[in-house]
Amino acid sequence: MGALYALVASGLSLIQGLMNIINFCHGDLVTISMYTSFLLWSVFKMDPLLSIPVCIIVSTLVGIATHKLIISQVLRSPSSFGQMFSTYGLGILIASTLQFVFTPNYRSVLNPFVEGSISIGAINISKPLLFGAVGALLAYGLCYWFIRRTPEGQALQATEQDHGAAQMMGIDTEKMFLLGWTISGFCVGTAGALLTNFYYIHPYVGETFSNISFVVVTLGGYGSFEGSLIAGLIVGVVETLSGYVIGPQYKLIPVYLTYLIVLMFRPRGLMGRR
Amino acid sequence: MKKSFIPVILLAVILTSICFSSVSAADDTVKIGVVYPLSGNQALTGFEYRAGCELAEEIINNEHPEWAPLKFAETAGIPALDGKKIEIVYGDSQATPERGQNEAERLITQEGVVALIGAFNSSVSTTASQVAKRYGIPFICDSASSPTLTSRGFQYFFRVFGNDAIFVENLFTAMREEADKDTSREYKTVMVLNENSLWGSDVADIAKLVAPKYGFEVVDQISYPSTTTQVNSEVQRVVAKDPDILFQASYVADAMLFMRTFKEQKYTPKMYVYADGKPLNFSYRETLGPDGWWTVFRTVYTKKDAPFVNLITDDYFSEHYPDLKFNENQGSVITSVQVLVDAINRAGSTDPEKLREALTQTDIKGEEIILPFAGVQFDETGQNILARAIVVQAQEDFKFVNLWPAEMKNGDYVPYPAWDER
Repeated sequence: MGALYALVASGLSLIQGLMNIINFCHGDLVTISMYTSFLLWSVFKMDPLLSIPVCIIVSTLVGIATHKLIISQVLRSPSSFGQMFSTYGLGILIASTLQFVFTPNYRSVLNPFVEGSISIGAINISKPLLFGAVGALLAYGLCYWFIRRTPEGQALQATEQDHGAAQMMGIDTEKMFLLGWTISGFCVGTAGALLTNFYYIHPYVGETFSNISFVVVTLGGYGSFEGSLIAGLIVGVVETLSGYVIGPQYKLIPVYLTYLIVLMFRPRGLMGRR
Repeated sequence: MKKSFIPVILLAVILTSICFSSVSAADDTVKIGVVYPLSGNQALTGFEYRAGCELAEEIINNEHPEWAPLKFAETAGIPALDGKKIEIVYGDSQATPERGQNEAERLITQEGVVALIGAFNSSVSTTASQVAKRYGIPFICDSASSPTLTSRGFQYFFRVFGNDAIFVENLFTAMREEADKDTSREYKTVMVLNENSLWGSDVADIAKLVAPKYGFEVVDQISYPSTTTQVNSEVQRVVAKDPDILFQASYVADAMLFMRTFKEQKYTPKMYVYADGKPLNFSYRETLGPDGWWTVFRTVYTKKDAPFVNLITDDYFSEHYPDLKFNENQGSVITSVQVLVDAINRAGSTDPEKLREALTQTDIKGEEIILPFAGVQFDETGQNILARAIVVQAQEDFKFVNLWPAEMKNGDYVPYPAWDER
């Protein structure tokens, strides 16, 4: 679960670092991706794993549309409230529309390709969760490679550090923003399809992941891609372990406690820039 | 230039509000407020209640002689108020107590409702009924079953539904009877698994109190937040304790998550009991399919043997709401509306005090309602003393077999099979 948190959060972190806006509808992009996967399954009987490319395309398109229609407009607004509430409002719009179209029924994919569990001694490891973790790490690795090792990725990093300087070096920042949304769409689309394998689908399911993502991004450090991975894994492990050790009813307390303690000693997060 | 707009806008706002308020003042209906989770995580339940509200309006407002002797089916509108029709006004609690409170306030002060009905979640019912109490407006609680609701001494609070103290006792009575009959295995221990809001916590407390009375030992209790994304640690603890009976109070999303995780861990208790009617839920059946069979649960709704039941649930309801299946949620809201309209009818007025007085003297017979209760009569705490639960097992293909009470029993209990025996 930690790897999936990390994947969802790294998309959020990227947008945050790149454009300096907080994308409140990030979780709803996960929901859209899950519904896309569900729709492909129910119409064409396509397994959620096969629908990953389509989910990526859909969530990227929605992300780019969000950028073109809303974000690029509000970026010009002097008030940060405008930026915050525009994505928040969009999130409500997305969830309500999904509720209208798909009804508030809980959906899920029956008999997916990956199902059941693997037994190692007395421990049963859930196959869909294992698959989700591996898939999420692979997707994360791909993004990481792209950002750190390709010229486009380096241009993206430059834009992230300083818009003005990047522009002077001849980087088209608008193009970079779109690239950012594409990578974010890639993360969210993959995570959504992987989640569809074992999690229920509901118009408001994204909220759950949105909240955790914010914790992960802040814990990892604003705009830090590596930080998101480490923080995502920490959150996943702390949540599960404290469920065993302290008791399931308190499992979220250590997560937020870790978060607060890290912020007390490192206000910029684990790997945040100064 | 810009400044000159402000008075114009103000004028427009004032004019529209005057228009709308005059419309509502001239409205010739009795407004009834309802509070349900119409959006958010529990919107599906709200959707089911909304269907029930619409059906209740149909029953009260239009003539349906074919549905007799269902109360008010044969008449149109409220007889004592010259056939005045009812209008249900919706409030969306989003399943949170604060939202529910605000919506109750809005319904009373802005919509001018004569009474409130709601609110599914026990926690929301608590706050919404506090608002009703403050304004001296009757609150009819249709399905929230937390016992604390009727122990607050509220004069304006009436619960049509049973409460969890009644329901949990009903469940344990049935569990004991079935455990004694099933000689293939031993049933000694119970583990309580509950979501940690007011409803789940109350159910867990009662279960722990009641279990020893029926000869069961409670080995452990786990309460968990219902908005959780994974239940691995909870499930591991259940597996470690390996109880004979798992007694679970969950909302539908987490109930499904648990069942899937239990299957992944290849774990089954000897008897799987839900504190409410999970297998009646459409999503639960669609999502889990055969994995949801063989569980035991309680319901307040079973198709009873009355002439109007099939006409309403199969013919009318299935035609208008093809996505839904008639269940206790519609049953409880319809009965609540009937109880309220009956009180208005006897009081001959919508005056809150007269309405309250009439509600205390409610005496509706079992055959006049769609719920399989013995009827509706309130005690001094506002609890319907004629409410009861039916204990049911979901068998193959979600065939629901009544196990308890004896007069409704229509099949035998099947011991909960292990995953590889299915």
